[in-house]
Amino acid sequence: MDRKKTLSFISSSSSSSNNSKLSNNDNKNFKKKKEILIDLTVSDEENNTTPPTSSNNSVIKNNPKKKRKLNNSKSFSPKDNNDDDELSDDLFSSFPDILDIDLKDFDLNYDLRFNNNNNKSYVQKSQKDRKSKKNVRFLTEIEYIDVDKKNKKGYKITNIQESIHKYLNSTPKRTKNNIISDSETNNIETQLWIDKFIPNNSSELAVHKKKIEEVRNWLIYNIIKNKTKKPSLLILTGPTGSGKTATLRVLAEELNIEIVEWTNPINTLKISESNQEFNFDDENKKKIKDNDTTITEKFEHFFISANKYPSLQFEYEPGIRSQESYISDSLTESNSSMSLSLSSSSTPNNLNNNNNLKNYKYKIILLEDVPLLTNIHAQKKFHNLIQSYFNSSKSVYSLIFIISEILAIDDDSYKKQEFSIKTYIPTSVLNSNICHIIYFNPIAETYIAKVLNNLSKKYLPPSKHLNTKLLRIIGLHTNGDIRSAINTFQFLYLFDDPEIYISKKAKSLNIKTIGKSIDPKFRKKEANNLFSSISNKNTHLSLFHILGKILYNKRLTTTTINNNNIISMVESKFKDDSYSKSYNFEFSFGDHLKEHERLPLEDEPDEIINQSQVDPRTLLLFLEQNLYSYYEEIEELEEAFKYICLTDQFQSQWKYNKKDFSLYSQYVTMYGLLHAHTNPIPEFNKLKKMYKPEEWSANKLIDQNNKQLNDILLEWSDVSNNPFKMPFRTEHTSKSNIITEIFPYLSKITSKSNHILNREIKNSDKQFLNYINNYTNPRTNENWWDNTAYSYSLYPQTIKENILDDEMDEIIPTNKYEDEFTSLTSNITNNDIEALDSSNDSIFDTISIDDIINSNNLNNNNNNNNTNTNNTNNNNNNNNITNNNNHNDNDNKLNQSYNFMELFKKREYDKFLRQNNTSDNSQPIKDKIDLFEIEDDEIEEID
Amino acid sequence: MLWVDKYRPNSLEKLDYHENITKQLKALTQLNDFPHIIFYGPPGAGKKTRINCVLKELFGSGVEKMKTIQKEYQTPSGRKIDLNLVVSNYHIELNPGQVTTQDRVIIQNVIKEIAQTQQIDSTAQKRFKVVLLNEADHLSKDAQHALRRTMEKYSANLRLILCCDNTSKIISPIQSRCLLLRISAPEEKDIVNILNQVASKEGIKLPQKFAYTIANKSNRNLRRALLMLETARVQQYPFSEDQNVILPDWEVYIKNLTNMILQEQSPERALQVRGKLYELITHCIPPTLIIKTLAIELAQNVDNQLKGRIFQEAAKYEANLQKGNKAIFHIEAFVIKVMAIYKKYIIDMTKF
Repeated sequence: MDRKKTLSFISSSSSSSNNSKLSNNDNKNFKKKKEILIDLTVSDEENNTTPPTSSNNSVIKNNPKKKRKLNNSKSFSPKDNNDDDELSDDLFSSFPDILDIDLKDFDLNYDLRFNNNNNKSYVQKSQKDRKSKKNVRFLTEIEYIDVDKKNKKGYKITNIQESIHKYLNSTPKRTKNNIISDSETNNIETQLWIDKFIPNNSSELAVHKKKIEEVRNWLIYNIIKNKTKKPSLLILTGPTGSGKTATLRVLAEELNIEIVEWTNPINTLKISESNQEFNFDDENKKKIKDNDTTITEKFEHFFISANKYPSLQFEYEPGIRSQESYISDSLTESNSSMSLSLSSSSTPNNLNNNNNLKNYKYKIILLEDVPLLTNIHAQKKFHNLIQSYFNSSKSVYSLIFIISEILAIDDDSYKKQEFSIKTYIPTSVLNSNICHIIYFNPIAETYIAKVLNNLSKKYLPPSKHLNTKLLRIIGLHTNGDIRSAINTFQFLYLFDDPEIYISKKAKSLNIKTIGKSIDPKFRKKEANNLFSSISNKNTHLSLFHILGKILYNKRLTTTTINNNNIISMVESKFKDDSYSKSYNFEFSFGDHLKEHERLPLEDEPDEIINQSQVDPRTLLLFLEQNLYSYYEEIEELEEAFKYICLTDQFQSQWKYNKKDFSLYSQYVTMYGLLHAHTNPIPEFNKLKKMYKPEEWSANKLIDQNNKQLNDILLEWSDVSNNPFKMPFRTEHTSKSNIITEIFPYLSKITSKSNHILNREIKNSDKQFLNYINNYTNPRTNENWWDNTAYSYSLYPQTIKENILDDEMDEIIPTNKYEDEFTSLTSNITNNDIEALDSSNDSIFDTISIDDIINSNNLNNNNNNNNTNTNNTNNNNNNNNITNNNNHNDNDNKLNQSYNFMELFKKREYDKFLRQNNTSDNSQPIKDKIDLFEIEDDEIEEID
Repeated sequence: MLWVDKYRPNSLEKLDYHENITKQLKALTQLNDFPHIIFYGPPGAGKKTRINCVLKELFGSGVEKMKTIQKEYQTPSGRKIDLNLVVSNYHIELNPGQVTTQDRVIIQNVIKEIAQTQQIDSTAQKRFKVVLLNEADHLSKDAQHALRRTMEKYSANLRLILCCDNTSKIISPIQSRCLLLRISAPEEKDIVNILNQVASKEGIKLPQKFAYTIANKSNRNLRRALLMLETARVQQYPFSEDQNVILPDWEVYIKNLTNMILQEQSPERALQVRGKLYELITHCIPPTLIIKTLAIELAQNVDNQLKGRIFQEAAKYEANLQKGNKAIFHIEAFVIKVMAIYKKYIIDMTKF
């Protein structure tokens, strides 16, 4: 049997509670408040052969020895420095109370080892009871944390003793006891630099000044100068580590605004559960199990109460009227209360710290740690909450949301934002004027460098300063995430000499020119290589970057390219010899494989796949939609489609087996499409628009049409009505046959308005009939891209509701009209055919059908005038004629045999024309999206 | 009512062609026992007509009193499916194509419901009821296996009649339990014969040459031939001998497509073709039919050497299409492949 129990406590040992017991204390040490984390792990192995009762007996026998050995242990600490000695004394002088009672059972044999390499030290104690042959291990980790800024209140040390007591009582049998304690040494702090060097005023922020101003202005206009007393909503969004929260907090502090923040309760629940397991009645248990709802409920409660009750103000000074001057003075000094633990709902105890008290004139509610809204239900609830908050007249305080961009799905930042924001905030609020969105960009590398530089100037000895280039590389590597940059920075300082470390590393990676190369992409690659051992932050590629990487087919060297332009381009790109060397194309294929020879890729698909977060199916759709314009020859396209088809099969064939072959499908598409390019495309005329997959809108349309069709069929298949009212018996024909055979003819037959079948079809159904058989010219890509384009009405405008039911009854009985009509049509169709025959000679001249139709229409009108047919007939005449025209035209075209020589000439000519055109249009059009332009509007200032 | 339905024969005696099959069917209905039957054959051959005739022969004219009912079924996952059933006292008619994904549930439920109730009408000539499954080849594998079980279980009071274009998509256990009846397409002279009958019943004069043109253009599809005749009647009457036979719009559209493909082979043109393919697909034309029609049209317009190649590719891409997810990709791929083949062919020819 192997049992493991872990108890962990967070405690700050207030000196009063401990001093009585810890006689040996060094006072200095305890002037600080301390946070002690004791992690007590007990693993308990029972010897299979000895039954527990006997082991108990043996333990009892060993009682007397124990204390002596414990005393021995103290003398066993020769290597440790003073600090640790104190600690161990601390520890054991505080422990004996427990140990006296609880560890009596053990034959203690301490083995003290002190590890003092950096900020941690370990005390190991081991006990052995050879007779019972059982092992117990205590792991005690005590960490002293500088609590000047953090004010956490938790369990006193006595609590720990108690619980250890309890614990040991419950598990009486052990033979080996290791206690590893861990404390800080004074020379290097344990606090993370991101917490330690939190910006105190707005000048220290790494965020672009304009952004800070934007937020400040919002706060001033909507909170401070807000006369309407109505709440407004600010949404701060942007990638992680772009300084959203820091900006807000600093500004709020400067502007004397209190932030009431929601934090998700997580750990509290768990601890209470494990401690009071037996005390809970059923209802409470249920609540704990149903974690989600309680959190949202709690959130609701918080939301309402935060609005209802004013913040507690102890020394309220009513006389702060001159707000503006107060703001300008901006309380930079009072940094101790950096509102870090102001979260009023979760840690109510923080108010005991006097330093923390400040009089805030204004209050905002900050929602950063928003409850997870994974299911629609919770989302709706949340939306309602927000909505009602803004609707109610009682709500006074403005809301601030901080939403990190989680995934970079869309390049278009605004679209992206809305997408993630929409999950939290209802659109009605989003679109109203109370809502303001501020987007934070990733912080430019120069800014990060600046911040790091300031930081090292302030806090570090000058000998340890890194040069700015390195700092910029850190910034580059972290993708503008200031948090991760500072972490990396801190980590670097764990080495004795960070600069030497980096240069060594650079040498080993064969990178000679840190930060020198011009191309930002390669600098980035470099930076990532350099820091890969320190921190490997994932960089995500957005969909459009991936598309670009695949479709543009960027390849590296120049050896086999004949195109001079490309050579010059590539040469300008790689001025550093080191690159072209490392990527030289060295081997060549045999003659029979020449067609498969390609230059090495600039971006390996491996990497792209690693960095991609896009669903493979979506990716495939986008690729398929956009790939046409990236291939110059039909053969390349053929090759590309070979892989597209393969991928499509991969993606569907396995879905029923619940196996995921999407990885393969990704590889197949990427490598396939890249290989399909036989020539790299010249860079300059490559900027092309990316389009949304037509497939989506097409599917929508298909669904729509199918639904309509089913409705009509249902209506017509209702046999219980008089069957002769139906144009045909739907049950006699399958649906696909109805679509492909009956409907086309039926629409033609009924297009003659006085046909008897018209009485059996409703006008709406007839419209659908005409619509479904009306093939227009395909929509262009432009139209698909434009959202409005494919939401056109179900029935095109050309179909007119020209006949009312009453009219029809009038028309049909009069047979003489019909006769006139038929004779008329026959005349005209004959005319048509003649006209077509005459123009048939040149097949490649586009026959202007419109002209013929127009001329015929003229005839038609003349005839009509003569015969006095009514208007409806006239319309239908026209319809018929156009139909006939088309058919005749097509038939005639098809009857021509294809003279391939002529075709060939024609194509060559076309190609020639095309090439001329492309060279003319080589300049990218302005409004096209520049795919690879990284949003970096902030680089302007510093360099 | 369209002539197709107006002049549809409603008893075995009135059937015009395939006299042997008619005799067989007649004999089958005389027996005490009646097997499960699969009717298969090309569209417009008269499968459905024969099924209805058989039903009438089995149960009398009561079969023709049909009504459409709407039923709601619930899947195990809780989704509700509305289904339209055509029901008479003696049989029930299912179009599983309406519910593609959950057809297994539908099949099981419907058949169980029917099979568990005995034939109520004591005067009925047969003890069993008939379940008629249209488009049986559209049934999923799951549904077919479910069907197989129910066939055995309820064979006492249930007979199945399946109707499909071909049997290749029907699993062999079902095939082995059924009598397979192939209704081949009528010959041209049969069609002409029927066209003449219809014309005389309608009282219109039909030139024989035109009748043969229709029969020819209809691809031996009787339904289409009758529709063509009726449309021609609307378009132009009296008929002229060499009148144009009107094709469905989508076929004309595909013919245009073949023109486009053969005129120019370039990515730009392929993109244009793609747009047109989407137009076809959004008009609910089945993708497999598009490939087939394209292949036939292409083959008619290229030199003989290429014909085989085109059909080979068409077959390949249609097979891929069945395996794949997005039909349009495979049609596009087919078009592009044909373009590439055709281009190579032309370039090779010009070298000499």
